Amino acid sequence: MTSLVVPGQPLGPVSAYIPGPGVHIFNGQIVASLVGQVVTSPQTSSTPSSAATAAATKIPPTISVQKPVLTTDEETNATLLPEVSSTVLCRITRINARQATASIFVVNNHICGDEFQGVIRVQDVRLTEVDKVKIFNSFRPGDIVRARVISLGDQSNYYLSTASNELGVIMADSEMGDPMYPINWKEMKSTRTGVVEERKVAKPF
Amino acid sequence: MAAKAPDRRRNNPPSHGTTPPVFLSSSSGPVKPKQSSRPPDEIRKIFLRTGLISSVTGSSFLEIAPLKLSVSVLGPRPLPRTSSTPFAAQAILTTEVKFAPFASTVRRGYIRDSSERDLGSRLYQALVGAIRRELYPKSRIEVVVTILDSEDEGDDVNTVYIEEGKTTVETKFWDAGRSERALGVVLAGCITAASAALADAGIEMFDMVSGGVATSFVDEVSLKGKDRGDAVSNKLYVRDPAIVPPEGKAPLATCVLGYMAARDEISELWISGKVGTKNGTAEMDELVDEAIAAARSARGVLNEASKERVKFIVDKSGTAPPTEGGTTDVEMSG
Repeated sequence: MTSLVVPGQPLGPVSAYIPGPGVHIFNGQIVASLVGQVVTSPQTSSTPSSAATAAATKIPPTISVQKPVLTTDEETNATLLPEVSSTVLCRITRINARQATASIFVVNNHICGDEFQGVIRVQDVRLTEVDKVKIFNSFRPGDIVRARVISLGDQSNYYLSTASNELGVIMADSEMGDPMYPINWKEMKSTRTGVVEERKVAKPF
Repeated sequence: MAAKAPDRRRNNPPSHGTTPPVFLSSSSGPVKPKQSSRPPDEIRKIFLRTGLISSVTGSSFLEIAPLKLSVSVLGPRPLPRTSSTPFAAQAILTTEVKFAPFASTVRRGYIRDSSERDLGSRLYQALVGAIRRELYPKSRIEVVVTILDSEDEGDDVNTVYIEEGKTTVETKFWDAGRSERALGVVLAGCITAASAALADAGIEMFDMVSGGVATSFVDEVSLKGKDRGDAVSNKLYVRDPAIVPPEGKAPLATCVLGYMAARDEISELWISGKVGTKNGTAEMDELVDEAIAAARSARGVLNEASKERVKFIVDKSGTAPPTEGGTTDVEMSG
């Protein structure tokens, strides 16, 4: 049973640990900023003497505070926010010639409590031949897209990019409403009619 | 569709009918206000529990004698699309305090009145410094407090009645600090409960804020006498005061504050009443110290209540402390 801490509780001097998530530094002390369990990694015994020797010899352990969640009903992480360089899954909601608007519902493999709005601008769709990209040939409303956050953007939109092989459309329906499978990096084929549509396809793992 | 629209022109009865209220017989005589037997430096017992509302990020419920309130924390959630606020690098905190219509002895309306707005802005001030808002850019955190029961008597109490022909202005009660005392206890409760709810929501904070309230009393006779300024010697400080003043005492001033115990910082300070002019600073310091002591006592409850929920989750899931880097597979069932 690890000890439970509350915000404001000092955990140790900054010299003994590297601060991880859930802690902050105040007056040379590492202080908890969450209610939860203290986690040190690599695991050290809690006796101060061994911790001190570990600090003297090699890199000090990282200390963090984690709040346990009930996995059953708190699967959605309510305090999750997209950050720059986080990978997100989003659904395309609107498209026009300049950008595709998307609603983000998964951030770093965690479902978020609220959906965030993001945009994929035409220059962020792919890495090469940026001038030739057409949004209409890359995304359609309803597509599920894996993208990366490149900026927190303006007041309402996160700026997303699909300029990488493993980023792009991962699920899409054809114009007739049939599911499609990818056939190459820029085309998907309908499972029923065999019609080929253009998309910016993510490379399957 | 037209049948469903409510009839706005008539005063409609409730659709399910009503039953007449049944009152207890009043043969037991007029109810005397209960005089508390606790020492003045002891706060009343606090009941505080977190995580009771599942539909919000964090929640708490608090009871201190007659005061009952629940706090919901929503967010961090995206800013509304129509919001006029430009890019917000830090989370925007909004606080709202609402008395239920039946929460005070005088029935309140559904629309927020001035004292509710005032409590809301004081609660904001108490909490805003404690939250690590820079971790939540482009989002807002909402703290919604619903007061279900309190000793407050509504805005009526301190309303000044001026009758024609009379030059003196008389308040309804001789006890001038009554409303402040009631609202002070409410605010202190709001601060403590809101901190618990924020902790339950998993929002990172520098420290938890606990609320404390203290009132200074003097002997009633000395207040009526000429030398009211010299009545410093027999001052009585009461932490977490009830609305009924102690026997034979008259209130001088009430102090409410939000206090971060681990950092020894005051985030919100509200003093109302008279603090003597002669050695006013000392009097004020004493009053503030008493309120801090009350807040420290509340902090102990706050800590335990916050841990209680986490302990419950740990016990229920029976998981060992999560190890860094090693992700555990989730068993799919049901």
